[in-house]
Amino acid sequence: MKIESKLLGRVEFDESSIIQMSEGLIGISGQKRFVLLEKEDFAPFGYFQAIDDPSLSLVVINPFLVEPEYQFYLSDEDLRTLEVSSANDFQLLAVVVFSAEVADITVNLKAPILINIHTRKAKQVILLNNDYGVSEPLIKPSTLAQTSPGKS
Amino acid sequence: MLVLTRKLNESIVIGNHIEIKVLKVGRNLVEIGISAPKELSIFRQEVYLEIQRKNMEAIRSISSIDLKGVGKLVKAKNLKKK
Repeated sequence: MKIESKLLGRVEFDESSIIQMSEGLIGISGQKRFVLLEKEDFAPFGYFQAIDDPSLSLVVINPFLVEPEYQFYLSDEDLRTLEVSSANDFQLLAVVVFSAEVADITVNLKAPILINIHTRKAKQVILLNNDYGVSEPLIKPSTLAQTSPGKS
Repeated sequence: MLVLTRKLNESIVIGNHIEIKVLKVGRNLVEIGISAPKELSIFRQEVYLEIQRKNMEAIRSISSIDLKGVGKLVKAKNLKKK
């Protein structure tokens, strides 16, 4: 299948990689079919692109790269809806809010997208635990100071 | 919207498994107890609205990006941890 992405231009992908979100993203329920576009170029980020609306795309990242000790408690309802029963069944993606300033980039660790990797069904879930907010810094200020290429 | 008036400690029942009870009434606050099957998720509406706002912001934000540059930083950060 081919789509015209606003950001990446024409993109080809396999039909089997289509991600079905029957409820859509929270608050944006119109779009139900997405595809995760990943390229070495912009790893570890991915584009979460709506198939039927080229202008609807988000940047996502594996939440464990942001928070290595990421803890997530999911409701029985979410697990059942997505037919997820073990850690080998799913993938999590956190939504990123970008900014020109790296220090201002935030990640929503409270409501990740849960994808069943076998069925490709997905849902944006809300964690039951209160460890994270919707705007966690992508890179903690302390780490940023150490790893920044430097303005020497 | 269905509107019901309830007194302190009175309940409403939704379906067979959900009960909502008024536990405390203050001047500007009402404390509500909810008994529901544990597979149902219950959240304050603000949580939903906040997530919706972040999703919209995320969609708008991608015009300003240098994914490659930031990607390198994230990789560097995680390599350091190992």
